[in-house]
Amino acid sequence: MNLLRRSLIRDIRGRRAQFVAIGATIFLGVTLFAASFDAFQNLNASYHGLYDRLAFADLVVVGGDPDTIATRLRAEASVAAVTTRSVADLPITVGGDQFLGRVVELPADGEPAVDRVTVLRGSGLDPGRENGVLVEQHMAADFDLEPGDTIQVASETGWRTATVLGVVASAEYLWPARSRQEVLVPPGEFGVVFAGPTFVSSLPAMTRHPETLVRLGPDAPDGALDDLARAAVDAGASSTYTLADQPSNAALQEDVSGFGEMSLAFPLLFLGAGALAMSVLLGRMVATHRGQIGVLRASGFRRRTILWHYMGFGLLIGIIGSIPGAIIGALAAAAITGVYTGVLTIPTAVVEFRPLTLVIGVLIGPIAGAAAAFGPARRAASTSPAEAMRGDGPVGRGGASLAERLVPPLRRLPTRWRLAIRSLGRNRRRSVTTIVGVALATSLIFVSWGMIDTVEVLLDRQFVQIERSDAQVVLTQPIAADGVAGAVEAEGVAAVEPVLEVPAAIVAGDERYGTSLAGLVPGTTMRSLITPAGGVVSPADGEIVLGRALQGLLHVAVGDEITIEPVADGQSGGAPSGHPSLRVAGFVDEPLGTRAYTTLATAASIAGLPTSNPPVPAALVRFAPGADPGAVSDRLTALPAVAAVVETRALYDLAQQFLGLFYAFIGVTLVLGGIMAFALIFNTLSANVTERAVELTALRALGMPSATIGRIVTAENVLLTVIGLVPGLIFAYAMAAVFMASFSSDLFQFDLAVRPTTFAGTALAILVVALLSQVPSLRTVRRLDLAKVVRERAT
Amino acid sequence: MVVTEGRGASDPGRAAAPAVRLVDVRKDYGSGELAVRALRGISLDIATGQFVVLLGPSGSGKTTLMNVVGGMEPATSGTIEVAGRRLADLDAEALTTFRRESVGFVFQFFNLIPTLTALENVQLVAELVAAPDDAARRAVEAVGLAERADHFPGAMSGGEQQRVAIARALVKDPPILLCDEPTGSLDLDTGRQVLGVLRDVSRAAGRTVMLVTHNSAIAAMADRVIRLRSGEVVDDRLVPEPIAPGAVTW
Repeated sequence: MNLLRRSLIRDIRGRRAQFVAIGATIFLGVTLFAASFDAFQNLNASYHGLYDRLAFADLVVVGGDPDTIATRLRAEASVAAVTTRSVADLPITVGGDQFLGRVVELPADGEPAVDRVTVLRGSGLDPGRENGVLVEQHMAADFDLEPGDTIQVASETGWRTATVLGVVASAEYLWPARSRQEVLVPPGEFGVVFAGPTFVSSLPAMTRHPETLVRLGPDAPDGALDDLARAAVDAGASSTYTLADQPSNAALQEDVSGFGEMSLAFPLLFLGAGALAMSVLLGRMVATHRGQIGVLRASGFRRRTILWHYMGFGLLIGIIGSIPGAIIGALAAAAITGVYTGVLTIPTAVVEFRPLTLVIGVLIGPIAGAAAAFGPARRAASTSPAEAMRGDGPVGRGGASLAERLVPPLRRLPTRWRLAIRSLGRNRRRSVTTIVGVALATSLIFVSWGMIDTVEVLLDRQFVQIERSDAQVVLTQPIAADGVAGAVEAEGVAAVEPVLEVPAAIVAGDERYGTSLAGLVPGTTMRSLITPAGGVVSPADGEIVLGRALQGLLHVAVGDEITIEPVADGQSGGAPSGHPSLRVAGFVDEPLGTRAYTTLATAASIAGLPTSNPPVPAALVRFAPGADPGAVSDRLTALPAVAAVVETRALYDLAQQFLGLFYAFIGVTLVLGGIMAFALIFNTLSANVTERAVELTALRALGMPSATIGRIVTAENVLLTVIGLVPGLIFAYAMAAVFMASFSSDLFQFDLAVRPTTFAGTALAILVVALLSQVPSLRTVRRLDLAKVVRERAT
Repeated sequence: MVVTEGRGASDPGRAAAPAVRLVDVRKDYGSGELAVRALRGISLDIATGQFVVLLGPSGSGKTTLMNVVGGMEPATSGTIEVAGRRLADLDAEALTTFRRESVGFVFQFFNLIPTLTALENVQLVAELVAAPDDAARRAVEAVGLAERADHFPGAMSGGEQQRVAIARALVKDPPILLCDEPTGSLDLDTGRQVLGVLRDVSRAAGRTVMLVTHNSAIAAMADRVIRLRSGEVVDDRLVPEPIAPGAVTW
């Protein structure tokens, strides 16, 4: 082996703890890259593979006359296929459970051209069995349904019994969201059934709405969807939404894009930290090796040889960290994809080995290492032999510190504390590196912690501050508003308010947004419409309050007039001719979903119902204090007027359940952040002690107890850490805000909400990591060889 | 720094209680066949106030001898008494106290802290032993650096830095000063200045000085010269008429 290379190996062995820390950081960075990047690719491939197979609609047109719209859209060159269907939201009973479900029309024979289903168990629809239905897999799992079982669906003439012919998967319901406003639905409170045209036509007209589904051709130009949406509206459609806005796909894409962002941000953070630590360590080594480098240069070694010798450290550690990182990352990606697609019950999981990811993974480690090593290596290569052989001068510079100049009383501190303060400016490059490292580590911990805070604060806002009702009761038949309280009277019910939800498109100029317009009683106590500024807004008749995402989506402001277009045949009375205009009274800051609110009378007017005492299909209910929610819910469900009860608490619990997974994820990032912080701070602090080993030994020789030296070193390190925390927390806050904003949409409003304790907790965590990471350095101080300082220069 | 009169070197080797007593001191590094025998049964007494030069070639054991006398590493066997204390009886903490109270070190490489001024480097140690407020400044004055007290090491010559290191060792007022090649990295003129300071602090305070060097020219200014070779004392003699440090040449 080349002697220089042997020396390199021995140098690494001599500082194995530091190099192991750097290698581990690079390993984590590469592992995260390979795992998250491949998982991102796998999930995308899994989704899109299924979407293509099932001809998932690129555009859904709601309302209007489907035949007219379909004819109009089929004429467009960009369209590959069009299907029309009816969709009904109505009560369904399975065994003793009753909930508000959905029946989606499918052709009785053959497959639709758009939005097909794939049969997982049993068979498809049979034209000879009008009461035969297919059950979507989530509903089948929630109610343990198998082919041959029966369910009850509310029809015009009462409950209609249907037989399950098969269990199917649908691209529309991979994530079983009821709508964009209700992305989270508790298990057992929603379910989708696919039925033939005869069966669907028997369902109450007021529960049905028409949809026209469009699949684009492969050569559809950019902007084709916008053109088709305009054409559909021109042809009488109420609203449209694209694949990107489809509730299930949008919810899944939030996760997938999270993987995508993770595959870039986390590896960057870890590789950056590893590179910083490498730069610090090599910088120190080059300073220590100055004499040796001088000898080599004087002996005829070329600059390039010296350069590559020190670059070799970065390359070698980068390779050592990246090869296992890339392999383990690839394996982890397969496991993540398997678990993820399993949890989401995606029938076709695509798990591919991607050589390119492996190659990139293997390369980024040494690239980061080499980039970090380049600076110190170049300094080594440019060392003049004569200069190197002149011996050591004092390391670092003298001078009063900035702190002493700004705060003169600091000059009266005991000398050992002044020493600690001045040491910060002694090796500025290393101090800056430490500060940057602390800031990076702070960011990772703070962003993770801030995400937990944000989600908890937002859930509290949604389910405690805004939702003041304990349950929404869906009625079997609309009941006059004044009679609702009597119809849902049960033990444990403290208050009841009628509510009328109208599926509608909100139109402002050229912009439109399909949502649910909720009509509430004036002065409602069931829902607090909290504005972004923290106030409460109440719409008067003729006014509307919009979810704040619509402020940007529709480009509207308070006082503007908007038009409401109800989805046709959604209400029994039919929409009145002409579309009503409402004045925007304010915006509501709701974290989950984007809805619109108005008064009960205005909603009734829009739906073509009497404005006085209109019939309503649902009610909001508050339970009596101390009542058992489950028991009250059961009593309500047993009432003849009640089709289903959706408990607010169940939604909150579901959100908390998802939060559990989120906590696990954040827990992992917190641990990784801690490891990174430890590795980084450990290396910079080790260099800090190593650089001054001789001085410290001299002080020990002069009788300074190692505990005193330990306190001086600790003071320096704590000061550096605290200085790093200031920019770190500011940077981390900005990063967390950007990160959360990237997840925000009309589905979820993720405004960063960080509790003050999180700032303190993050700072404390970093300080603890800093104190822990200096333990090896302090042990080094205690074990300094006093005799060595006399015999030779310590290195 | 406390300056006392009457412990001069005018009576070398005949003080009543020796400042340093070594009895059959051995020091091995490693064990078995690979053991390096750095000291091979050294016995000697060094009187209080004596200026002793330990002379010998590289590897003769002179630095090891100084290290065991200074309590920086233990002897393998034998008895070492310094300033009335048996070092073998002291644990690590007591050895730290011993070094703080009884010995001062001056190294070939000055090992000053670059972020502290000359005065502050001395103060750092003065605070350690709770010396009087002006002790550090007096120590700096004693080595002739009153005008340079507020300069940082980076702005001082090698000789000045070594004098700061001597002041740092003296500020504790140790009865024994151990110097390892204090002129090893200095030119002749600067070396003479440093030797002059060492000679002065020895004479003025009656302080025992053990100076390790391989430079035989320095021996001429000592009260006593001990030559070592291969870990053994091969010659130990008094210098009848020590020359002035300024007359030393090499």
